[in-house]
Amino acid sequence: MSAVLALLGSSRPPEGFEKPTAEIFDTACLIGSGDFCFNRIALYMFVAAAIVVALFVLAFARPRLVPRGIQNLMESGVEFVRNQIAVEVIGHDGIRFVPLLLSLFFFIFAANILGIVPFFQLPATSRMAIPAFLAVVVWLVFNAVGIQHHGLRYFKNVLFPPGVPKALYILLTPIELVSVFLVRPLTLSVRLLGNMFAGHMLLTIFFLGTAYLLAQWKTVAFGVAAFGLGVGLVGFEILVAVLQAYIFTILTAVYIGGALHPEH
Amino acid sequence: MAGRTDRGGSWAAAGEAWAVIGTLAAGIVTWGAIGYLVDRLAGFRWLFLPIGMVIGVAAAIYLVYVRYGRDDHDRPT
Repeated sequence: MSAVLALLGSSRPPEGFEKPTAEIFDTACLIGSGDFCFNRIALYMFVAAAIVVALFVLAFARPRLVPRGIQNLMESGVEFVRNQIAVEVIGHDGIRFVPLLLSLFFFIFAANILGIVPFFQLPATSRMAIPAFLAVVVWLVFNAVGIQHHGLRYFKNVLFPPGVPKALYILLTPIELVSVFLVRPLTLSVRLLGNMFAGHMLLTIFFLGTAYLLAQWKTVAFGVAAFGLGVGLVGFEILVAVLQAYIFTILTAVYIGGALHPEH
Repeated sequence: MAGRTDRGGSWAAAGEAWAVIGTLAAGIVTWGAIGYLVDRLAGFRWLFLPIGMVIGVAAAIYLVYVRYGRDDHDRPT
C-alpha cells in the first residue's frame, strides 16, 4: 500500500490534472468515527449481500417447472457452481458445500461488480477487510473439514505427503506448513484485493484523464481516445469481476477437496 | 494427472493450476527465508538466500509432482 502511495506521489502530472491517489479508497465514515466506523465499503458489503438475497428470492420464491427469465439465469448459476465447481473439484461429497461455494461466488461477484455500477462505483472488495475476512472463513472451513474427517491425521497428511522418501520430509514439510496454513489465505485475499484495487485505479485514471484532455482544444482527440479505452476497460472490469469471483470459489473447492481426500 | 482429473475436467484443472502456483511460491519463500536467516546468523551476505531459493523451488516442484502429478497406479499404498 505504501509502495503504491509512493509511486503515485512521485509522478508529476501536468498542471491542472487532478491525479487519483489511494485516497479514492478512503471513504468517509457514515456512522460513528475512527477505525471501526461504518463507511461506504461497509455499506456496499450490505448492498452486495442484499443484491444476492434479492436475486435469489426473485428467482426462486415462486419457482416454475420450466424456468423463465431470472429463474433461468439463477438456475444456470447454481448449476454451474454445483456441477462445474463442487462436484468436479471435490467429488460427490462436495454437494454439501454447494451453499457455501454459491454464497461465496455470488457475494464476491456482487461486491466486485459494484465497482462499475453507476452511483456506487467502488468495488467493496477493493479494500483489504472483505477479501481478508472471506479468506479467513475459507481457511477455517477447509481446516475444520480436514480435522472433522481425519482427526489429527489431517495434519500428518498435510505435512507429510505419503509415498515420499523419509529424508525428503526435511525439505517438504516446511513448504507444506507455509503453503497450506499461511500462503493459501494470503494469496486468496491478495489476489482478489489486488485485482479489484488495480481495476478501480485504472478506471479512475482513464476517466480523470478523459476529463482533463477534453478540457483543452489541443488534446480533444486524445480525450476521445482515452474515453474509448476507458469504456473498453469497463467491459474488461466486468470480466475481471466474474473471473475473480470464480477463481476464489474454485480455489475454496480445491482446498476443501484436498482436506477431504488427502490421498490425491 | 489421473488421480485428480478422473473426477474433474478442465475447470478443476484451472483451480489446481492456481494451487500449484501457491505451492511453488511457498517453496521459494520458505527456503529463501531459511537461507536468509542462515545468512544473518552466520554473517554471510546473499549466499544462502539464493541457495535456499533454488532448493525451495526444486523441492516445491517435487512436491507438486507428489501432490498433483503422480499417477494412481504407481503410487505405493
